[in-house]
Amino acid sequence: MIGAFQTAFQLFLWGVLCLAFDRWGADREWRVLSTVGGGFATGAVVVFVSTLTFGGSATDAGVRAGAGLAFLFSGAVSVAALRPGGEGGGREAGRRRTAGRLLPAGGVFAASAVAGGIVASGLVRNGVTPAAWGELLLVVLTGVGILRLALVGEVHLPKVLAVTGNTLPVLAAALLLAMASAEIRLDLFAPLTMKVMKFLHDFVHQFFESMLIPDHLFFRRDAWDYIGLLFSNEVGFWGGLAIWFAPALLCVAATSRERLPSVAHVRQGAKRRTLLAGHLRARRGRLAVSWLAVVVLAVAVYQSRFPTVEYWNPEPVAVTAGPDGMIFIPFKKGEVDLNDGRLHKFLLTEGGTKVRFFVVRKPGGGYAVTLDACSICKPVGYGQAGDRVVCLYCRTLIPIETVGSTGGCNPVPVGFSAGGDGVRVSALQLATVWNETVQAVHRVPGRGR
Amino acid sequence: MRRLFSLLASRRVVPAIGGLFALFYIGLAFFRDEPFEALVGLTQRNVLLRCLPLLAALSMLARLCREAMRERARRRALRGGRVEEVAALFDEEIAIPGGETTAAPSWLTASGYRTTTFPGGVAATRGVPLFPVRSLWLLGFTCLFLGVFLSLAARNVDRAPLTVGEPLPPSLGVSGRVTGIEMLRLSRGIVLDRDLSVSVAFDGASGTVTRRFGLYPPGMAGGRFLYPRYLGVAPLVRFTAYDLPRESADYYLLFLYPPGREDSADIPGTHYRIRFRLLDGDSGDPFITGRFVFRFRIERDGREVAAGRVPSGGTWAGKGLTLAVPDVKKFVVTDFVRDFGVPLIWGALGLLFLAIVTFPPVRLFLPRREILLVAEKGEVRAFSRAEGKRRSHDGVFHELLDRLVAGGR
Repeated sequence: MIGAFQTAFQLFLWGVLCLAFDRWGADREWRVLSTVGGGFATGAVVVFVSTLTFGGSATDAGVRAGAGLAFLFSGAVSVAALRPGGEGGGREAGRRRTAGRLLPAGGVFAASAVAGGIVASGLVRNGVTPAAWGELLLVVLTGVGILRLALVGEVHLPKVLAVTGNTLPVLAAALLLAMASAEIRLDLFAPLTMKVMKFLHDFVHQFFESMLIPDHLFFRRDAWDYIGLLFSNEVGFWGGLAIWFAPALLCVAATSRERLPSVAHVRQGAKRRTLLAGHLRARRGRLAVSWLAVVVLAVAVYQSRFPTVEYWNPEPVAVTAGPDGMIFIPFKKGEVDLNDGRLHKFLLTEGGTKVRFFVVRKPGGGYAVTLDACSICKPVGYGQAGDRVVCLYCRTLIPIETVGSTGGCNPVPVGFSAGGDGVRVSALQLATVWNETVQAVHRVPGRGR
Repeated sequence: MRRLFSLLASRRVVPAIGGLFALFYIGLAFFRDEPFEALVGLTQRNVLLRCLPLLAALSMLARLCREAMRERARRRALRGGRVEEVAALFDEEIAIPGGETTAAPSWLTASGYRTTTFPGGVAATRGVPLFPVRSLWLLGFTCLFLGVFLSLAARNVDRAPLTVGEPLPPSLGVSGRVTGIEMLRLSRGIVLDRDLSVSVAFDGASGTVTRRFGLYPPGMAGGRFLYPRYLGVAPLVRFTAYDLPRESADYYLLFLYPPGREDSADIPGTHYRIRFRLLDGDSGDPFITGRFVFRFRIERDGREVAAGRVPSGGTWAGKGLTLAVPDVKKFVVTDFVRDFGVPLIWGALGLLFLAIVTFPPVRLFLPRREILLVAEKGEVRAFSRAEGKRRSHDGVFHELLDRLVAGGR
């Protein structure tokens, strides 16, 4: 049910994208139809073939890379749009370089292919089943049908809503990101926040060292608290937002700063005012398209933060250590079956510290025992979505196969022994690892690294 | 040469370089756990990448030069001087055949412009030019990129402990001896809570000169910044044990600061290891008061055989063991940094701050607006330019043109 809703939502955004493409190339309808429709169908089929050939993870990475490249391209276009039309200033007033030249049919085809790939990714969530091929055909036909409808409906849109070479890449990238964020595996906002947090942490650390700034020992507590804001989890979110919205907002700024064309040669004041009013109206239309991109990106952020995905997130089962300091978890006891492929959470209370950890059996065999926390994010814990675990704080997806490895947002692994009739974990080790990696890590320069 | 200059002064150069580094970072972020460190390392190793900040600095400098030349030419034109390609200096240009400029100065003055009349023309200006602020901005970025380049290309760091009573490390290239290390609590520090003072007696031709190095800004010796990294204490540990033939006595560099940290000293040639921990002093930070109390654990072959506490100047005895700490020296692990980029980057940040503070009031309240009328060959060429409040300026300009066409009525 959720999957159908996501596909419908993605197809709706695809419809908006089609309208934008149609408006941009309205005088070349047949080309729009063949390029955009062909791109969509190609992208969808490629995702199916790639999933069969390279597997779901590699295909997801490819689709995410496509959406990411569209975003980077939109960023480059929006920065270029900010530049005045000529170095001489206003003599080139009103004639700004646009990305029109940079966005030939190949770019439109690629963007359509990414859109098709995103929609198709939802169909192969559980692998390429025979039924999925039928769904693919249905989705491709629906996508092309939506494009045809958009071609018909586009003429009824107000003429003032102009899609230019500057606004099209930004709007297209925003729509692709929103489509991707509907599918948690393809979401780019959550990984972006993590990368931003990491970058800021590393940058400030490097800056302090490069500028020979003393260690935190010498700082006033309140001054250090302000600097410490740069190392908080929230800064990743806000920094991510700044980057996420940057292309669209730069596009808004570029459009707002566009100089009106010279009317100095017109000697009738009324005619001058009429001409200027016309240009202002046209500029407002272009601004509306840029603002639409901002709204679409906001939707993408909302979807990323509150995804419509059902997680397997069981209540932790309380455990205690035996006289030898070891916790014993039988392979099967009551409703808990460690061999069912799902993660099972446990709670140990040790000296006033509550330690959450989970055990999961990997698809390739063997178990992993990890804290229900990583060493980067707030210890909100993990859920399970299919063959991946999800950090419930930053929404990073981690294949279950790699759970038990260290680094990044992976849950912190804990030593254990499995054999006989269950899994054994040292309570002291659990408490120590929890205290050292989860509670003691403060993101300040030189600490917690 | 002219083409090279115009290429260098292009506004695309710096965003292109920034974009390139951003792409490198994004690429590294996919494959490395520490992408920023990897990018810095890659840039330091690769000559081409290392030169990109220098290229950015040169580009900013070229832009500054070009803007300065344009500003100078525009001012000359507004004073009635001969300037080639005047039109390129203004936003708009229009020719009015047979126009009359005699009434223009009084009308422009009434509109709030300061007018200058010269043979064959009129110039009207209003507001403050943004050029000085732009200069600060461009110069700031020039210094910033140059500082980054120097830092990447020529930073050299030697790390060594500075211990009271010990000579300076030979790598510093100057001879001297550390005479004291003091930590002071700052009662009125805005950012820093404590200061560190390292006194060094330098041997010179005219005798010994004592200099004091503070925490920030970092002092320089032998062309290197002294950057204190970690504090520690070096207690003189006298240790005897029932199974040892003689007393062991030596100084040990222990990283025990801040209090609570643990470090250990292996007694050479024995099975003993002593783990030390510095206790919080009753009368304040021990590094400030100079009164150190150690909690210790003595291990033999990894097994704890005794534990206790001993103050500096005190002795502990028991279980056939004695531990005395008759003296404690302070030490600071210091980076001796040769980096000519640091002052440039600080200077750049100052310049950029000044530019950011001065830009809004100038741009919002006193933007520069200019009108130039030049009568030649039976026509009046009118030029206009505005750095802000463009709409109202255009209104004045257009009305002026209407009046010129109407013959000054």
